[in-house]
Amino acid sequence: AKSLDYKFTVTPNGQPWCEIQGQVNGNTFLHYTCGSQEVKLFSVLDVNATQAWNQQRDTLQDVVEELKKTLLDIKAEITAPRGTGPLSLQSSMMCEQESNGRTGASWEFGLDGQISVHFDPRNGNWAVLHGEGRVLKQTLASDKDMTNLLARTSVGDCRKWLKEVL
Amino acid sequence: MGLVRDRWAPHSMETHESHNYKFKLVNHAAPTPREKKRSTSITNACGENSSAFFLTRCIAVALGIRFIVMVTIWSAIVINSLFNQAVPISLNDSYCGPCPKNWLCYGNNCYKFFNESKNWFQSQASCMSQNSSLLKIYSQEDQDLFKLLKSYHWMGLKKNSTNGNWQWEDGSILAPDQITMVDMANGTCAVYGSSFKGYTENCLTPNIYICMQRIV
Repeated sequence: AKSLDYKFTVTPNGQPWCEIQGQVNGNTFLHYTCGSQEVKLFSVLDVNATQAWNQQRDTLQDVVEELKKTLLDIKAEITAPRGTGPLSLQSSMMCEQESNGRTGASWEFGLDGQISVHFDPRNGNWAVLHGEGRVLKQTLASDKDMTNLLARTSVGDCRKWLKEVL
Repeated sequence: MGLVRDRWAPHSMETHESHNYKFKLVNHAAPTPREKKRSTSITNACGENSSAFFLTRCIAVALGIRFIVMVTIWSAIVINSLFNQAVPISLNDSYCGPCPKNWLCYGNNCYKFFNESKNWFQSQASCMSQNSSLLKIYSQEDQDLFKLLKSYHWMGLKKNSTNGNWQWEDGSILAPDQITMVDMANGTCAVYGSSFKGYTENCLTPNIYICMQRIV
Protein backbone atom coordinates (compact mmCIF):
# COMPACT_ATOMS: atom_id res chain seq x y z
CA ALA A 1 0.00 0.00 0.00
CA LYS A 2 1.19 3.50 -0.82
CA SER A 3 0.52 6.32 1.60
CA LEU A 4 0.87 10.05 2.17
CA ASP A 5 1.10 11.39 5.70
CA TYR A 6 1.08 15.01 6.89
CA LYS A 7 1.81 16.14 10.45
CA PHE A 8 0.71 19.61 11.54
CA THR A 9 1.96 21.13 14.79
CA VAL A 10 0.50 24.42 15.96
CA THR A 11 2.00 26.37 18.88
CA PRO A 12 0.40 29.86 18.67
CA ASN A 13 2.77 31.49 21.17
CA GLY A 14 5.80 29.49 20.09
CA GLN A 15 8.64 30.08 17.70
CA PRO A 16 7.81 28.94 15.06
CA TRP A 17 4.04 29.03 15.50
CA CYS A 18 3.56 26.03 13.22
CA GLU A 19 5.35 23.21 11.45
CA ILE A 20 4.25 20.91 8.66
CA GLN A 21 5.92 17.62 7.85
CA GLY A 22 5.08 15.50 4.81
CA GLN A 23 5.90 11.82 4.35
CA VAL A 24 5.60 9.39 1.47
CA ASN A 25 5.44 5.74 2.61
CA GLY A 26 6.94 6.86 5.91
CA ASN A 27 9.84 8.81 4.36
CA THR A 28 9.95 12.54 5.03
CA PHE A 29 10.01 14.60 1.81
CA LEU A 30 9.06 18.03 3.15
CA HIS A 31 9.43 20.08 6.29
CA TYR A 32 7.90 23.54 6.43
CA THR A 33 8.34 26.13 9.18
CA CYS A 34 5.75 28.92 9.49
CA GLY A 35 6.82 32.48 10.16
CA SER A 36 10.20 32.10 8.49
CA GLN A 37 8.35 30.25 5.69
CA GLU A 38 11.39 28.04 5.36
CA VAL A 39 10.82 24.80 3.47
CA LYS A 40 13.19 21.84 3.37
CA LEU A 41 12.64 19.30 0.63
CA PHE A 42 14.18 15.85 0.69
CA SER A 43 14.57 13.57 -2.29
CA VAL A 44 12.58 10.42 -1.89
CA LEU A 45 12.35 7.67 -4.47
CA ASP A 46 9.69 8.33 -7.14
CA VAL A 47 8.77 11.75 -5.71
CA ASN A 48 9.44 15.17 -7.23
CA ALA A 49 9.42 17.04 -3.91
CA THR A 50 9.56 20.52 -5.48
CA GLN A 51 6.62 19.83 -7.75
CA ALA A 52 4.68 18.25 -4.88
CA TRP A 53 5.30 21.21 -2.58
CA ASN A 54 4.27 23.75 -5.24
CA GLN A 55 1.03 21.89 -5.73
CA GLN A 56 0.26 21.24 -2.05
CA ARG A 57 1.53 24.43 -0.37
CA ASP A 58 -1.66 26.54 -0.45
CA THR A 59 -3.87 23.70 0.76
CA LEU A 60 -1.52 22.69 3.59
CA GLN A 61 -1.21 26.31 4.70
CA ASP A 62 -5.02 26.68 4.69
CA VAL A 63 -5.30 23.64 6.97
CA VAL A 64 -2.69 24.83 9.44
CA GLU A 65 -4.31 28.30 9.62
CA GLU A 66 -7.65 26.72 10.51
CA LEU A 67 -6.04 24.42 13.09
CA LYS A 68 -4.55 27.47 14.76
CA LYS A 69 -8.03 29.01 15.07
CA THR A 70 -9.30 25.75 16.57
CA LEU A 71 -6.60 25.76 19.22
CA LEU A 72 -7.30 29.41 20.08
CA ASP A 73 -11.02 28.57 20.43
CA ILE A 74 -10.14 25.69 22.77
CA LYS A 75 -7.80 27.85 24.82
CA ALA A 76 -10.63 30.34 25.27
CA GLU A 77 -12.94 27.54 26.41
CA ILE A 78 -10.61 25.63 28.73
CA THR A 79 -9.40 27.38 31.83
CA ALA A 80 -7.53 24.29 32.88
CA PRO A 81 -6.50 23.61 36.50
CA ARG A 82 -3.02 24.50 35.33
CA GLY A 83 -4.45 27.87 34.42
CA THR A 84 -2.89 28.10 30.97
CA GLY A 85 -4.88 25.72 28.78
CA PRO A 86 -3.19 23.62 26.11
CA LEU A 87 -0.07 25.10 24.50
CA SER A 88 0.08 23.11 21.30
CA LEU A 89 -2.12 21.12 18.92
CA GLN A 90 -0.93 18.14 16.90
CA SER A 91 -2.80 16.82 13.94
CA SER A 92 -2.07 14.31 11.24
CA MET A 93 -3.78 13.54 7.96
CA MET A 94 -3.21 10.25 6.21
CA CYS A 95 -4.40 8.86 2.91
CA GLU A 96 -3.42 5.52 1.41
CA GLN A 97 -4.20 3.32 -1.50
CA GLU A 98 -5.82 0.15 -0.20
CA SER A 99 -5.27 -3.27 -1.76
CA ASN A 100 -8.79 -3.23 -3.24
CA GLY A 101 -7.90 -0.06 -5.17
CA ARG A 102 -9.93 2.26 -2.96
CA THR A 103 -8.39 5.17 -1.07
CA GLY A 104 -8.53 5.30 2.69
CA ALA A 105 -8.21 8.54 4.62
CA SER A 106 -8.11 9.51 8.29
CA TRP A 107 -7.37 12.34 10.71
CA GLU A 108 -5.97 12.34 14.23
CA PHE A 109 -5.80 15.21 16.72
CA GLY A 110 -4.21 15.80 20.09
CA LEU A 111 -3.27 18.51 22.57
CA ASP A 112 0.20 18.97 24.07
CA GLY A 113 1.53 15.87 22.36
CA GLN A 114 -1.18 13.36 23.34
CA ILE A 115 -3.38 12.08 20.49
CA SER A 116 -6.97 11.97 21.77
CA VAL A 117 -9.39 12.31 18.82
CA HIS A 118 -9.87 10.31 15.61
CA PHE A 119 -11.97 11.39 12.61
CA ASP A 120 -13.09 9.24 9.69
CA PRO A 121 -13.75 11.68 6.82
CA ARG A 122 -15.62 9.14 4.69
CA ASN A 123 -18.51 8.61 7.09
CA GLY A 124 -18.02 11.70 9.27
CA ASN A 125 -17.60 9.66 12.48
CA TRP A 126 -15.62 10.99 15.44
CA ALA A 127 -13.98 8.93 18.17
CA VAL A 128 -12.67 10.27 21.47
CA LEU A 129 -9.69 8.16 22.59
CA HIS A 130 -9.14 9.90 25.95
CA GLY A 131 -11.36 12.02 28.20
CA GLU A 132 -9.15 15.05 27.47
CA GLY A 133 -10.22 14.88 23.84
CA ARG A 134 -13.84 15.76 24.55
CA VAL A 135 -13.51 19.53 24.19
CA LEU A 136 -11.21 19.14 21.20
CA LYS A 137 -13.70 16.87 19.43
CA GLN A 138 -16.60 19.22 20.27
CA THR A 139 -14.76 22.25 18.94
CA LEU A 140 -13.83 20.52 15.68
CA ALA A 141 -17.14 18.73 15.09
CA SER A 142 -19.35 21.75 15.77
CA ASP A 143 -17.54 23.81 13.11
CA LYS A 144 -19.13 22.86 9.79
CA ASP A 145 -16.50 24.67 7.73
CA MET A 146 -13.78 22.82 9.64
CA THR A 147 -15.28 19.34 9.13
CA ASN A 148 -15.82 20.23 5.47
CA LEU A 149 -12.19 21.27 5.15
CA LEU A 150 -10.96 18.08 6.87
CA ALA A 151 -13.11 15.84 4.66
CA ARG A 152 -12.34 17.57 1.37
CA THR A 153 -8.60 17.85 2.04
CA SER A 154 -8.14 14.18 2.99
CA VAL A 155 -10.63 12.51 0.63
CA GLY A 156 -10.13 14.97 -2.22
CA ASP A 157 -6.74 16.72 -2.22
CA CYS A 158 -4.70 13.98 -0.51
CA ARG A 159 -6.04 11.30 -2.86
CA LYS A 160 -5.29 13.51 -5.86
CA TRP A 161 -1.71 14.07 -4.61
CA LEU A 162 -1.30 10.34 -3.97
CA LYS A 163 -2.23 9.55 -7.57
CA GLU A 164 0.16 12.17 -8.96
CA VAL A 165 3.06 11.55 -6.62
CA LEU A 166 3.29 7.79 -7.03
CA MET B 1 5.78 80.12 -4.02
CA GLY B 2 2.54 81.65 -2.73
CA LEU B 3 4.17 82.37 0.62
CA VAL B 4 7.01 84.28 -0.98
CA ARG B 5 4.57 86.41 -2.92
CA ASP B 6 2.52 87.19 0.21
CA ARG B 7 5.59 88.45 2.03
CA TRP B 8 6.68 90.47 -0.92
CA ALA B 9 3.42 92.42 -1.19
CA PRO B 10 3.46 94.34 2.17
CA HIS B 11 7.13 95.09 1.70
CA SER B 12 6.49 96.77 -1.64
CA MET B 13 3.66 98.74 -0.04
CA GLU B 14 6.12 100.14 2.51
CA THR B 15 8.49 101.30 -0.21
CA HIS B 16 5.74 103.16 -1.96
CA GLU B 17 4.64 104.87 1.24
CA SER B 18 8.12 106.14 2.08
CA HIS B 19 8.43 107.37 -1.48
CA ASN B 20 5.16 109.28 -1.15
CA TYR B 21 6.25 110.84 2.10
CA LYS B 22 9.35 112.21 0.42
CA PHE B 23 7.24 113.32 -2.48
CA LYS B 24 4.92 115.23 -0.11
CA LEU B 25 7.81 117.22 1.30
CA VAL B 26 9.11 118.02 -2.12
CA ASN B 27 5.66 119.06 -3.24
CA HIS B 28 5.61 121.98 -0.75
CA ALA B 29 8.84 123.32 -2.19
CA ALA B 30 9.23 124.08 -5.85
CA PRO B 31 8.99 120.77 -7.69
CA THR B 32 11.56 119.88 -10.30
CA PRO B 33 10.07 119.26 -13.73
CA ARG B 34 10.76 115.52 -13.53
CA GLU B 35 8.99 115.20 -10.18
CA LYS B 36 6.06 117.28 -11.37
CA LYS B 37 5.57 115.08 -14.37
CA ARG B 38 5.54 111.99 -12.18
CA SER B 39 3.03 113.53 -9.75
CA THR B 40 0.61 114.34 -12.57
CA SER B 41 0.68 110.83 -14.01
CA ILE B 42 -0.14 109.26 -10.60
CA THR B 43 -2.83 111.84 -9.92
CA ASN B 44 -4.45 111.11 -13.26
CA ALA B 45 -4.56 107.42 -12.55
CA CYS B 46 -6.36 107.99 -9.23
CA GLY B 47 -8.75 110.67 -10.36
CA GLU B 48 -8.66 114.41 -10.09
CA ASN B 49 -7.86 114.62 -6.34
CA SER B 50 -4.24 115.65 -6.16
CA SER B 51 -3.89 115.52 -2.37
CA ALA B 52 -0.94 113.37 -1.29
CA PHE B 53 -3.07 111.75 1.44
CA PHE B 54 -5.56 110.47 -1.08
CA LEU B 55 -2.76 109.37 -3.32
CA THR B 56 -1.32 107.23 -0.51
CA ARG B 57 -4.72 105.68 0.18
CA CYS B 58 -5.28 105.13 -3.48
CA ILE B 59 -2.04 103.18 -3.85
CA ALA B 60 -2.68 101.24 -0.62
CA VAL B 61 -6.12 100.19 -1.90
CA ALA B 62 -4.67 99.25 -5.27
CA LEU B 63 -2.00 97.12 -3.63
CA GLY B 64 -4.60 95.56 -1.36
CA ILE B 65 -6.71 94.56 -4.36
CA ARG B 66 -3.61 93.26 -6.08
CA PHE B 67 -2.80 91.20 -3.00
CA ILE B 68 -6.29 89.66 -2.91
CA VAL B 69 -6.15 88.90 -6.65
CA MET B 70 -2.74 87.22 -6.26
CA VAL B 71 -3.97 85.09 -3.34
CA THR B 72 -7.05 84.07 -5.34
CA ILE B 73 -4.95 83.11 -8.37
CA TRP B 74 -2.49 81.10 -6.29
CA SER B 75 -5.21 79.25 -4.39
CA ALA B 76 -6.97 78.54 -7.68
CA ILE B 77 -3.73 77.06 -9.05
CA VAL B 78 -3.15 74.95 -5.92
CA ILE B 79 -6.76 73.66 -5.80
CA ASN B 80 -6.71 72.99 -9.52
CA SER B 81 -3.51 70.96 -9.32
CA LEU B 82 -4.96 68.88 -6.44
CA PHE B 83 -8.16 68.32 -8.37
CA ASN B 84 -6.29 67.30 -11.53
CA GLN B 85 -4.37 64.68 -9.54
CA ALA B 86 -7.51 63.29 -7.88
CA VAL B 87 -9.43 62.67 -11.09
CA PRO B 88 -7.22 59.97 -12.74
CA ILE B 89 -6.79 58.10 -9.41
CA SER B 90 -10.51 57.73 -8.88
CA LEU B 91 -11.02 56.63 -12.49
CA ASN B 92 -8.25 54.02 -12.60
CA ASP B 93 -8.12 52.51 -9.13
CA SER B 94 -11.15 53.25 -7.03
CA TYR B 95 -13.93 53.16 -9.56
CA CYS B 96 -16.18 50.14 -9.32
CA GLY B 97 -19.30 50.18 -11.41
CA PRO B 98 -22.87 50.31 -10.16
CA CYS B 99 -23.98 47.18 -8.26
CA PRO B 100 -27.44 46.30 -6.90
CA LYS B 101 -27.98 47.36 -3.30
CA ASN B 102 -26.16 45.12 -0.76
CA TRP B 103 -23.97 43.48 -3.42
CA LEU B 104 -20.21 43.49 -3.10
CA CYS B 105 -18.35 45.38 -5.81
CA TYR B 106 -14.87 44.09 -6.60
CA GLY B 107 -12.74 44.42 -9.73
CA ASN B 108 -15.66 45.60 -11.85
CA ASN B 109 -17.87 42.66 -10.85
CA CYS B 110 -20.79 42.48 -8.44
CA TYR B 111 -20.98 39.53 -6.05
CA LYS B 112 -23.50 38.38 -3.49
CA PHE B 113 -22.90 35.57 -0.99
CA PHE B 114 -26.05 33.66 -0.03
CA ASN B 115 -26.07 31.87 3.31
CA GLU B 116 -29.16 29.75 2.62
CA SER B 117 -28.36 26.23 1.40
CA LYS B 118 -29.91 25.17 -1.90
CA ASN B 119 -29.10 22.46 -4.44
CA TRP B 120 -27.22 23.51 -7.58
CA PHE B 121 -30.32 24.00 -9.74
CA GLN B 122 -32.14 26.05 -7.11
CA SER B 123 -29.02 28.16 -6.59
CA GLN B 124 -28.76 28.75 -10.32
CA ALA B 125 -32.44 29.75 -10.46
CA SER B 126 -31.99 32.10 -7.51
CA CYS B 127 -29.12 33.91 -9.24
CA MET B 128 -31.04 34.10 -12.52
CA SER B 129 -34.02 35.66 -10.77
CA GLN B 130 -31.65 38.43 -9.67
CA ASN B 131 -30.26 39.09 -13.13
CA SER B 132 -27.00 37.30 -12.34
CA SER B 133 -25.38 33.87 -12.65
CA LEU B 134 -23.48 31.56 -10.30
CA LEU B 135 -19.85 32.45 -9.57
CA LYS B 136 -17.48 32.08 -12.52
CA ILE B 137 -13.71 32.27 -11.99
CA TYR B 138 -12.40 33.73 -15.25
CA SER B 139 -9.20 35.31 -13.89
CA GLN B 140 -7.42 34.45 -10.64
CA GLU B 141 -5.78 37.88 -10.82
CA ASP B 142 -9.00 39.91 -11.17
CA GLN B 143 -10.80 37.74 -8.61
CA ASP B 144 -8.00 37.43 -6.05
CA LEU B 145 -10.42 38.02 -3.17
CA PHE B 146 -11.56 34.40 -3.57
CA LYS B 147 -8.09 33.04 -2.76
CA LEU B 148 -8.80 33.20 0.97
CA LEU B 149 -12.48 32.27 0.96
CA LYS B 150 -12.86 29.52 3.60
CA SER B 151 -16.38 28.11 3.16
CA TYR B 152 -17.53 26.01 0.20
CA HIS B 153 -20.04 27.61 -2.15
CA TRP B 154 -21.75 26.44 -5.33
CA MET B 155 -20.26 27.99 -8.46
CA GLY B 156 -21.53 27.89 -12.03
CA LEU B 157 -19.47 24.88 -13.10
CA LYS B 158 -21.18 21.69 -14.34
CA LYS B 159 -20.00 18.56 -16.11
CA ASN B 160 -21.38 18.21 -19.63
CA SER B 161 -23.13 14.82 -19.67
CA THR B 162 -22.37 14.16 -23.37
CA ASN B 163 -18.66 14.98 -23.67
CA GLY B 164 -17.59 14.96 -20.00
CA ASN B 165 -16.11 18.50 -20.10
CA TRP B 166 -16.50 20.90 -17.21
CA GLN B 167 -18.41 23.93 -18.48
CA TRP B 168 -19.37 27.32 -17.09
CA GLU B 169 -22.96 28.50 -17.31
CA ASP B 170 -22.12 30.66 -20.35
CA GLY B 171 -21.06 27.48 -22.20
CA SER B 172 -17.30 28.12 -22.08
CA ILE B 173 -15.08 25.16 -21.18
CA LEU B 174 -13.10 25.26 -17.93
CA ALA B 175 -9.50 26.39 -18.53
CA PRO B 176 -6.65 24.97 -16.39
CA ASP B 177 -5.60 28.44 -15.17
CA GLN B 178 -9.06 29.16 -13.76
CA ILE B 179 -9.86 26.33 -11.31
CA THR B 180 -8.03 23.16 -10.23
CA MET B 181 -10.58 20.38 -10.00
CA VAL B 182 -10.48 17.95 -7.06
CA ASP B 183 -12.60 14.79 -7.28
CA MET B 184 -14.81 13.90 -4.36
CA ALA B 185 -17.75 11.49 -4.71
CA ASN B 186 -19.19 11.12 -8.21
CA GLY B 187 -20.53 14.61 -8.57
CA THR B 188 -21.29 16.49 -11.76
CA CYS B 189 -21.49 19.94 -10.14
CA ALA B 190 -18.74 21.82 -8.29
CA VAL B 191 -18.33 23.89 -5.14
CA TYR B 192 -15.62 26.52 -4.88
CA GLY B 193 -12.88 25.92 -2.27
CA SER B 194 -10.11 28.32 -1.24
CA SER B 195 -6.97 28.75 -3.39
CA PHE B 196 -8.99 28.40 -6.61
CA LYS B 197 -10.02 24.79 -6.21
CA GLY B 198 -13.25 23.21 -7.36
CA TYR B 199 -14.56 20.13 -5.52
CA THR B 200 -16.97 17.88 -7.38
CA GLU B 201 -20.28 17.50 -5.59
CA ASN B 202 -23.64 15.83 -6.12
CA CYS B 203 -25.81 18.54 -7.74
CA LEU B 204 -28.69 17.76 -5.37
CA THR B 205 -26.67 18.37 -2.18
CA PRO B 206 -27.68 21.65 -0.52
CA ASN B 207 -24.88 24.22 -0.32
CA ILE B 208 -24.53 27.94 0.14
CA TYR B 209 -23.78 29.80 -3.10
CA ILE B 210 -22.37 32.95 -4.70
CA CYS B 211 -24.08 34.96 -7.45
CA MET B 212 -22.08 37.18 -9.76
CA GLN B 213 -22.95 40.00 -12.13
CA ARG B 214 -20.40 41.22 -14.64
CA ILE B 215 -20.33 44.94 -15.34
CA VAL B 216 -19.83 45.43 -19.06
